[in-house]
Amino acid sequence: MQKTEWPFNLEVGRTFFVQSEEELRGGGRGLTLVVGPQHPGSGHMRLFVVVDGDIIVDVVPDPGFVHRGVEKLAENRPYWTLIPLVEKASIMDSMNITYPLILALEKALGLEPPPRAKYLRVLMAELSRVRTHLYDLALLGVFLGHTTAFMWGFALMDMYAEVFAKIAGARTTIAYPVPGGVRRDVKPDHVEAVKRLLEVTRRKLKDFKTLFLDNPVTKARLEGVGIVDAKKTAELGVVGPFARASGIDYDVRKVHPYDAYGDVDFEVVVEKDGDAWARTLVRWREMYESMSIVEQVLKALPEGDVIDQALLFKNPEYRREGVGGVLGVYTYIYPEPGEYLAVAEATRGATLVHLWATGLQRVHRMRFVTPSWRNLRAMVEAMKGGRLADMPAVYMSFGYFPPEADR
Amino acid sequence: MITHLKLFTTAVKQLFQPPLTVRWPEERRNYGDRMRGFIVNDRSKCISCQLCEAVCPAKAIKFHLEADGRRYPGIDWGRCILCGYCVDACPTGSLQHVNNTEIVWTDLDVYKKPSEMDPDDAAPLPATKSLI
Repeated sequence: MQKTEWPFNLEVGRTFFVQSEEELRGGGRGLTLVVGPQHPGSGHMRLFVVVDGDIIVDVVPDPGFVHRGVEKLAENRPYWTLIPLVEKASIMDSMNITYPLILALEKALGLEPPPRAKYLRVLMAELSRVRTHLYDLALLGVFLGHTTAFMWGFALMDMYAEVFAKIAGARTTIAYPVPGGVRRDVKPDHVEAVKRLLEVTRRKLKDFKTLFLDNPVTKARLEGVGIVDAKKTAELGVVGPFARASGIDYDVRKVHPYDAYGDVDFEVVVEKDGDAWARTLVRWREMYESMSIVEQVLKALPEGDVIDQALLFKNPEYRREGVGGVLGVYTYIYPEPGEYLAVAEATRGATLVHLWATGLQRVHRMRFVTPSWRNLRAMVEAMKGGRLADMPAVYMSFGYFPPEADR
Repeated sequence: MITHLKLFTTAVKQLFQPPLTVRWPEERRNYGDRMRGFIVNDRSKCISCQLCEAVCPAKAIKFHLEADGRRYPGIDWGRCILCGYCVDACPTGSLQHVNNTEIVWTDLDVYKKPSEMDPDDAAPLPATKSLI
């Protein structure tokens, strides 16, 4: 197949003859459309789409409109300030997206969180997962023209924001974990709030399912659209629920269990079809798995401190009731020189952080790979051969989040 | 047909549910006492250790000299991301969040000048509505 050139030389809206004849019948005529870079619902992103009639022949993505240079910024600041920097990539999912950084920093600093902190991290990570799936499904709804699903999804998501604010102090960018523990302990009324939240979510999801997933229009719009088979998924390096929707049984939480994931029992949700409907169903079923993990964590929540004793020992007067309060200790501990790698399963897939510490408080280099970036190529491949009207459905069935991809 | 009937009954059922919308400013969301709102400094507890300046990820805190010969932290609200690291690092608890996120500046220069928040301006607001 002939590789398509970067289409900046093509005049927008001009009719021309498509070069890659394998994809298009001989002599067929194409038209370049520029989709974006307006905010389509999840961040600024541009796609150059070549269409023949309303069949998509080629798509060239042009990401980078919300690039902030996280990796470069990370080279010039102390390690503890990387947490608020990294979490801005995916603000609803801030607990999961910072997880690999925290794991890598703990290896570098030689800290070990106490059991209660490990369970609290898993609790927040799974609540964050349900919330991000709700966000993606709500946006999928509005991309299909289903405004009620958008409203309901966002209303449910806001209840999660309220619980996050009660436990961690902020609605979105919670900056909850720190190397060696978490910043806030939960109190009995927070546990009650989480239990009520799960009950309300289960009740509301029933109606949400009737209105959105059982709706024949939704099924007709998603079934058989944007198919990526298992072989292509593996070749393109797709991660997370989008790989699991094509039958690839891979979840970092199961393969390399970190923190308390080894102690909880959950199922890796897999679908086989690899179309937009399968990707929706995987995320739908994952929400129930996450809620079951949260229930197990609440049942087995150990007592004790939420910060590593080594940190408290270095400065015991920092200990205050309910608050980790050890941020000042980081100003006089230093990471061991070396390279540290950590992977964690964020909501949209595996996230990787590779730290190169030189013994200074500023890391020499931080490599930060986010799941949306890994899924971009598969999203573009899935769009090819489909109809232009299905493009938004394929886009959001991958849960593509440009700030997370561009970082 | 049955699917459509189910859709219709689900929609009608919602008519009898309480609304989730918040009628601001008559009602305000209740986010609990840990909400990371604006930050005030209690000068009687402050020991001018400059730890808050050292941990700040946004470099928003600058110390300024006051008439009593001591230095106190001022926050540039144009840079502050309300992460609360300074509050967690403060060894005496003099820096504290207030349960107020609704403060407006009309002058950009005043907003960007590293300054201490007047506790009277940052009085906690009544929070009544809770979704959970």
